[in-house]
Amino acid sequence: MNTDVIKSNIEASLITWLKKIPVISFYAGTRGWFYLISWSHRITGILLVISLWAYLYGFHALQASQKLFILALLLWILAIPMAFHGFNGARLILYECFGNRNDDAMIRSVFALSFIYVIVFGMLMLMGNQMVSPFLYWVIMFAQALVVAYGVATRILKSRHSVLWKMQRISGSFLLVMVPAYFLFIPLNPSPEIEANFLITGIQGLFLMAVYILLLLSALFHAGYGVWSVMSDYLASRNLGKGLAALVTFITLIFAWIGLLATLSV
Amino acid sequence: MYNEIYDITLKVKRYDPEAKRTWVQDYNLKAGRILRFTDLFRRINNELDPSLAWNSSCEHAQCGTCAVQINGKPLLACELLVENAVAQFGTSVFKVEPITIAPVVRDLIVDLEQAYDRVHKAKPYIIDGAKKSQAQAESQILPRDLERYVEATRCINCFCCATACISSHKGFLGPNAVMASIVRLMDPREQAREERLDLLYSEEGIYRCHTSKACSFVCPKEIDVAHFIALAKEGKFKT
Repeated sequence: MNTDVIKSNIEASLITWLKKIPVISFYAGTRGWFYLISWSHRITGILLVISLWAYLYGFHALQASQKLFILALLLWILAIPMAFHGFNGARLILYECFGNRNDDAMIRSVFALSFIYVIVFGMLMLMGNQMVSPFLYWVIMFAQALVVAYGVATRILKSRHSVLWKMQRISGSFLLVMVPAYFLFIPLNPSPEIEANFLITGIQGLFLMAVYILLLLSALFHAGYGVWSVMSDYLASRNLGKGLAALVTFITLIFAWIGLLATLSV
Repeated sequence: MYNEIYDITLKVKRYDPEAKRTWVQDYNLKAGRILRFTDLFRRINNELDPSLAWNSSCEHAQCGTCAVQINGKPLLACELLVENAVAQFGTSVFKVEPITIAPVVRDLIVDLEQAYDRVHKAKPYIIDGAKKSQAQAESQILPRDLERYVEATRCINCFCCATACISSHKGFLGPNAVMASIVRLMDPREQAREERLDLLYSEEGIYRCHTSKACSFVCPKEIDVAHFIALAKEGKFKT
């Protein structure tokens, strides 16, 4: 079986299909496919920011009603932009910070990994409880996330970049493992996910709470800096930029407070 | 075959600064296959409409003055042959617009002075060359050093990359201006490294680049601009 032929046939069919959409065809022809992928990264990022804020705002309501089919379906749909944004972010970090220029292979990996993740996530949602130990699960995921974040941090920490730029990359690499893990954990656990973890008391409970707080703060920082970065592209006025930075910081702090209160009150 | 004639329609976006009026004007031409778009503009001036304003200088893809957008793609009008345009865009109807990097002066002409302000800010020259000893008559660059950045020295500042960039032009120096500074940082003769790094690692420098790689895609000189900006993000100016 010639896998190269199959691969090129799949790609050719997909590209032909995508080119039937006028806006995609236009930008692919005049700016290139990576331009479209960059826009997809932005759009999925903004979608995830809105989802994060909405999730934190309706934290308790969502927990109480999460068995509803429609919410499960929405969660599964949300996993698609989440997986794409995460894996594409990893591709950008590899390109910009690790000198990996094999972008064609990397973008294939982004789509392949996103596809696999979304399918596995859907299967786990259908199967339901797998009786996974919350503590063990999060120890493994947290350790993996730390390894990835440490690898990126050692690469960029001594560089001349701004602290915020570095934190964006480090938080992104941490979230690359932690957010998909957070999504996966929901169908793995029989009870509402957060509550189930904090039923465990003592050191295990404290560890889980610390993991969730770190995840919350990383996600909020990554979201806030991402929003500000996109807005900065379209602002000529420095004062307006500073004003918007202050506004984004304020909104991020409010949601951090809401998230912390919700996490600590469980 | 060699005498093939195309029926071309150019839909030119025009601008009259006196009346502050913008409109699209159609020009129908019969054109030979190896005519360039600058030739088409000239024929419009000579045969159809002397008032159409456009820019060109060398007409050998070396100065960047004739950069326009054809069917949305920034490119050099002097480099685009009619038959290639028909093949590339799959049509004989072409929408012709000015590049978007600076305000339009008239029709297809933009304010290049304003566009060049960003390049000047990046100082596209050696600010402070390495001191030579008395015995040394000239600076030497090792071939392996030169090989890393010589591709970027082909940049003609046509601003096609800046027009295509995802990051708009409001807060960004632009891919060509940023690359001009990166090239000098890769040049072993440059001593004014701190000054250059301050500009590159500022909010109008590389932080506005999101690696959409449209710059590399449209560059008429086929420079991988995104690669050089990524080298700066990696801090890899030296071998």
